[in-house]
Amino acid sequence: MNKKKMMSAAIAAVAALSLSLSAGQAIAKKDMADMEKCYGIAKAGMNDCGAGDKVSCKGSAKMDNDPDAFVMVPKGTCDKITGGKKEG
Amino acid sequence: MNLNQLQHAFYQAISQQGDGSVLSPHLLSHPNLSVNQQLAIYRRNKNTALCNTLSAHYPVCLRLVGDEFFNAMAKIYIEQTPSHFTDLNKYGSNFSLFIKDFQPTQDLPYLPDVARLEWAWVQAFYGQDMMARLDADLIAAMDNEQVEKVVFQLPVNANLLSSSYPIAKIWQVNQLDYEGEQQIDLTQNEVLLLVWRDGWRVAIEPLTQVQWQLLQVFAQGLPLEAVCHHAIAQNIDVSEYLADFIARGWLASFEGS
Repeated sequence: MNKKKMMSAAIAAVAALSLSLSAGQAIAKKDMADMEKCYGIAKAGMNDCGAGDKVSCKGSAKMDNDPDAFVMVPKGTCDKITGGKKEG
Repeated sequence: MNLNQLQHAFYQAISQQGDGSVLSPHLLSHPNLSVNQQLAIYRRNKNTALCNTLSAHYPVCLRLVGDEFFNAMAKIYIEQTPSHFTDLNKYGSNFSLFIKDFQPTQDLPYLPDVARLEWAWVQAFYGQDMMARLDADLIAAMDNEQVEKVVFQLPVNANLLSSSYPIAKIWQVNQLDYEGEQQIDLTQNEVLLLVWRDGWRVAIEPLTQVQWQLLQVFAQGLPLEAVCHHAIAQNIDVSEYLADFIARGWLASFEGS
């Protein structure tokens, strides 16, 4: 396919899109719907200011000790992942 | 001692192998705590704040290796990586590189890529808002010459990622609300992902090989004419994808007449 034809075909498809969407309205509604959910998307323990539980004395003990060899063995959900190592 | 020197001395004192000797003459004495004990409180709070930040940014890595291991690994990373930002949310950008070279995680070769995915998620989450879709009407109204020069842009908060490991699946299975098969087979095919934020929602979208290639071309910020040139060289028909990319929000804005 030559470049000119490809471009006009691409733009024709975009034009069709603009007709089928009746763009503005559909998108505005979608954003409103998303907006209502915005308080729900922060992951647990993740807030914007970094204050509160991020800077407190009660959590400090976990950073006290030097990691030793015993600690340096993963003990999480990684044991559920199986299959050979891949190259690269 | 001016303020700058005082701040520098404080920073020295609370760094990992904290040396409070320069600072101590400037500290008020305390009846029950030595200078070093006082400084240790600050040092621990700093380390804990950074460790909690890493836990918040890399919750899937944390689940994969467990709390104890993660905290120990984070401690070593924090020793090597001072925070250069006043914004904690920018801390930890090169954690994946650290993990890659970290000897105790060498048996988990997918872990650096999972960390890259989590950092892309954080980038999208805190990145610039992208609330409106590209207005296709404006493109439709252009003449041929204008169209050739249009530069389409990916969402500002977007990242393209590839991995030889099923990192999207690993991410999904390790979400707290995930209910389903926990086992993951590493021998699945490589994954190509677009991570971006659509309104308020962070999306991790798997891409086909062709979608990936073409988005890479668009990501270079070339005018449509040059994009088509590159696409033809890779045997890709742009007309099959452009409208779809716009509809999905993967091309979010444009520059040019």
